[in-house]
Amino acid sequence: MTTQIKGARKVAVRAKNTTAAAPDRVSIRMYCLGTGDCFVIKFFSRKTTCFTMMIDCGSCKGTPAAFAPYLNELKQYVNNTVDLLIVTHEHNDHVDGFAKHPDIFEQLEIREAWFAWTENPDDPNGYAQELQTKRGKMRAALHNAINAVKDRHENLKIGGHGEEMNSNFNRIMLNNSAAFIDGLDTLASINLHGTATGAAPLPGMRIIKDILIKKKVKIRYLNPGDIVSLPLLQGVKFNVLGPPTNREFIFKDGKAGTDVYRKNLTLNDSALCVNAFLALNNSERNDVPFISDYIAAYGATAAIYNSPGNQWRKINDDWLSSAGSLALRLNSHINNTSLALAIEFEKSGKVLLFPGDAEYGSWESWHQIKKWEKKGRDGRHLTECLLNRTVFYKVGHHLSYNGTALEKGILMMESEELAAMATLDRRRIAEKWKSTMPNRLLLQELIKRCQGKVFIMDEYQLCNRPSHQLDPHTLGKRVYEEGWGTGPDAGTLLYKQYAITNL
Amino acid sequence: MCPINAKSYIGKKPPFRKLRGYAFDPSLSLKMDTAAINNIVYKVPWETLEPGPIGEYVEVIDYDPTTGKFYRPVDLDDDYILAQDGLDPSESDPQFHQQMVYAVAMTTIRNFERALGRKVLWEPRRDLNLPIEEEYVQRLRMYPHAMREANAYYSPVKKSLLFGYFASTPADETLHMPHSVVFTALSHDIIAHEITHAILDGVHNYYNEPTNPDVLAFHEAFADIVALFQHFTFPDVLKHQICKTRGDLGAQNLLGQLAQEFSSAIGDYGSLRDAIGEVDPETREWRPKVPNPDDYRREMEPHARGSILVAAVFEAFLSIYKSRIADLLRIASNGTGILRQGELPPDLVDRLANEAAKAAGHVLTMCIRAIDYCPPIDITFGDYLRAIITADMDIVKDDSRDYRLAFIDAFRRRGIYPDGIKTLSVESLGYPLQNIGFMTDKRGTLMQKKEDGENDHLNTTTKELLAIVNGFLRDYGDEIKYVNDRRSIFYKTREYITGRYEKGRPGVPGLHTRLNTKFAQSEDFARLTGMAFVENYRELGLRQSSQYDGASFQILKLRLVTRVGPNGSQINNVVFSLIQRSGVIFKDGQVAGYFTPNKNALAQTTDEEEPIPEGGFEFRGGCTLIFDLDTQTLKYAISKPIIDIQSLEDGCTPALNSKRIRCQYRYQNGEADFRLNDYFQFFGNGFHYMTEPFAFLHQH
Repeated sequence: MTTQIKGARKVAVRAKNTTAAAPDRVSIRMYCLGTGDCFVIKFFSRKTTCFTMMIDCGSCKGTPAAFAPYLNELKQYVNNTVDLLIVTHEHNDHVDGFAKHPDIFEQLEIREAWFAWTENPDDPNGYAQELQTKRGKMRAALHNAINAVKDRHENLKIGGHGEEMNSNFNRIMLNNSAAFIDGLDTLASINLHGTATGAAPLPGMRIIKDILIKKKVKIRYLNPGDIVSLPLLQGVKFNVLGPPTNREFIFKDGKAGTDVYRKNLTLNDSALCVNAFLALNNSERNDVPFISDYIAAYGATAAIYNSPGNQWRKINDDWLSSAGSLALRLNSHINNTSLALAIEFEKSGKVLLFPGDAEYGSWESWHQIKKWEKKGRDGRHLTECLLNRTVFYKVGHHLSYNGTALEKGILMMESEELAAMATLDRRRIAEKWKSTMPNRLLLQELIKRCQGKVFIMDEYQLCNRPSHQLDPHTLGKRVYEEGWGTGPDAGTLLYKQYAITNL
Repeated sequence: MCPINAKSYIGKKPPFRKLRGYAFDPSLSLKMDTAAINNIVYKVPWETLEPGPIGEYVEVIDYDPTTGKFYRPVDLDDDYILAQDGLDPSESDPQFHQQMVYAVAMTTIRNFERALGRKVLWEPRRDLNLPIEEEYVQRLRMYPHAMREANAYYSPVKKSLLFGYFASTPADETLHMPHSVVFTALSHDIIAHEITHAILDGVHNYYNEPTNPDVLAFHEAFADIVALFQHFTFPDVLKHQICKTRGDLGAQNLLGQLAQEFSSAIGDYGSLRDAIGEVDPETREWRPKVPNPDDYRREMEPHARGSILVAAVFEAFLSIYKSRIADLLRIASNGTGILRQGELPPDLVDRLANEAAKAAGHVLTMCIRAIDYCPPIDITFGDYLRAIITADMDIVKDDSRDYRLAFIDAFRRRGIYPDGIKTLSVESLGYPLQNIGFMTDKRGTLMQKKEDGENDHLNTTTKELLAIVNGFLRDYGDEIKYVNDRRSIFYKTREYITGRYEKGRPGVPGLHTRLNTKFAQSEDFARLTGMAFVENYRELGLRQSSQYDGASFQILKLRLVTRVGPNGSQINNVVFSLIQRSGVIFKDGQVAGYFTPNKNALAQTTDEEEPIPEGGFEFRGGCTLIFDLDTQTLKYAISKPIIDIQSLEDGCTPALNSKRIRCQYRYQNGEADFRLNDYFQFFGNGFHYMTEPFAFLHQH
């Protein structure tokens, strides 16, 4: 009896294949490269793949060799063809795979590529160019500042204040200074390109753009409110949520508790600080906030300040700590330029949400997209409606407190089918990220809402493991799958995959 | 006639120096309706100043490290400047910035000295909290242009205030010009806030070590309370607002709104007043926030938590104000409660504003003097409430206006209850008086007092010994009473703690020695103070004193307090604190063992120079003792016990206070999943050994 049914199905598949069919199943594969995003999403119509899409390729840790097994598997899996490549934002944990193995991407056939409007070199409003210039300046400033902070650390080591220092106290100062540098390095590792002068764009972003141009791939820059349908993909709509075009939102400040789990910061007040850092290596620094008449020649005040007994009260280097808030601002700013997409299946209404690393400012702006007002069910805003119908959520910013909005985000995801994937791996992560990732409350809420269907790249060191609530293997192979390496890579978890049916 | 010059004029030194400045911050000078009230004249005590200004308490050093430049120091004794009450308020003149920080700092210092009844001393220079080589710090240093950030902080290591400046991207573009430069050194609130951190550090230096969620929140809230009520003591500011209300008698709402509207929008300072009230989104009217006891249980972030305390104190202030003006309103409305239409009569406005200013002054004084009645470590909001009530009971015998009740009620409504009291009333909140029943006369002879001691906790020996200590403290009080020089006060006080040993003269033992020889193993004293003056202290992870057979302890902040109450009542107290350290190893939710901490707390090793075992951390106990010199009594022992007092009562082997150990461990090791802010998460190095706690705290 069973064979008869199988045969019947086969016939049906063939019949449908003659026209472009709407997909009925989708599988989302998360490559376990280390903390960072690399996804391949395949759309199936009946049993055949009808569309292959790739989002980002990066990890904040890892050598080209370490990337190889994952990317080789990926190349094989996509069968050398990617119908759509999406690059969300310019952070190493999302793009440096392109730089580490450009050969693989040169060989791939890429049919179309999407970027956020902020990457458009010819943005008609000129906003993108302005942002890029600002970003470049902030990068260069941060680069200078980090070097200065490291110099300060070296001076501290030899007791640069010229006074005898209590060794224990000095050691604690050094420890704290080292912790500060760790923090800077953590943020620099995804925002800056190694030791090269900071202003240049990250190599991953530059290389993939070069490859795409060389291959003459169709590139589209997307604005919030855009709704894109592709001829190859019947019945699927790509709703573009972010990044916001309103510059205010890119620097938006959220309020802890009501808006995000922890306070978000993005006030754009580092401008003066950036100038000072940029001028650090100049012999004469004249960027004073007053007219020059007020500048004193060497006088009594200077004598007090520099007197030998007062060395311990000098503040020459304290202001360098502003590098910390500068780094956080730059990081948040770039996160907020993430291309955020809600992929909607028209027939079932189900939504897959890929927000990149968008932070609160971006999340909030989604709800204010003018075109979408009253476009949702019961006259609600379309964004709210999309969030309500979300069945799959790529957790923003690796489970940190600021990658998921609270009231305007996770609390609106009401679907019983909701599942989530998070690209967090505490074994392969920049050191200081561990303190913010995962956010315990966010993880708790996600596990509750997804009824345990939260797939984390590596649950290492998490006290609240989703698998304790639900062993993903009980979902069955058709729904959840893990891919392990073979040969020399045996024992390496290459990917985790989750499939959604009844689309 | 020869002209009058300085030599021919026989006059007195002026009591005040008048300095013009902003009442709030420069942004309000640009709005028509607030410009009038924003410029006020600060009256600071007269003192001789060097250019800077550099005076007795503070020195302004205007060095801008971001450009490597010094700005010209202002000479406030310059004839032209003296003749016009200081420089004109101006954003573009760094010399005015120097004048502004000086004026606000000195105003705040004066408020503290008045309330505390003694001179403000800065925390001596030491390495973190370690008194290796204490060095007297005469002047707090202030750097008005120290960094380019929306931040200002007190650096305990450098004994300095650092103020930042930045390009603004304002929330309200109509108030600040976008991309204009904003100077934190021009905001009254920020300056008052930061200098309060410095003064509080001089009174309780352990309050910048977070051992429970209230500690840093208290530091923040206290600083904001001082800034807020200092504002309200300027009646002109209030007059202007009260004038605007016309017939509306809900003037209490107006004050709350005022507090919030004018809180600085820079950095996180404004958020401390979030809990006072909010603007109704529909009616657009301001209304006070209904307190929610859950907030105190849930909020762990220092600013959010601190805002609960600010709101509680503010509510107490409003109740006091309301009761003070009830009669005025009856008179003005002929008993109807309804005022005539139109503007309020100026006399009424004056009276209302003066009452508000007076109430604010009282609340400010109550809040400040309470810090002498707080335990030296690990403070909670509940402890602070008890301190406020006790301090007030001491000086104001007749609380005819129910100030204390106003405070208790406001704290109760926010779910802030002190630990270890059975009922919530004025009597039970006040710390119990300790009667020691004995006193010494001037020659040191011991006498029994006439009224018999009712304190049965202490045995006669202890009482006698305490009386002798009391006599010693009275000598200290007598000696220090007429010393006005702050440096002498500092060194004399230290001498009384450590003793005086000079060549060729008989040594005079200090307080430390006296306590040690008398109480080294007195269980009675242990019960009183909660300190481990017990035989088995070694097994409990306490160090042995370097000179005696007994647990080592530290004496902090010996000080003479002289205060005069509103009814002429006067108190003369000597206050000091004891601190003990113990090394505790905590595993799997319980105490698993002890280690002896290194003498040098910064060494981060055990006494044997071994690394600290896993799960090991330093646990402290502390006690503030208040002696009354007039009645020769030990008045209060305000304790955060290091030992489990119950174990003493039960006659068991003394044990450490496991409840406090558990709380501290949970808090400091993130079981509560609490971090200050993301800046701290990325750039901090844990809670222990924070060298710049306030730099982190004010980040956002």
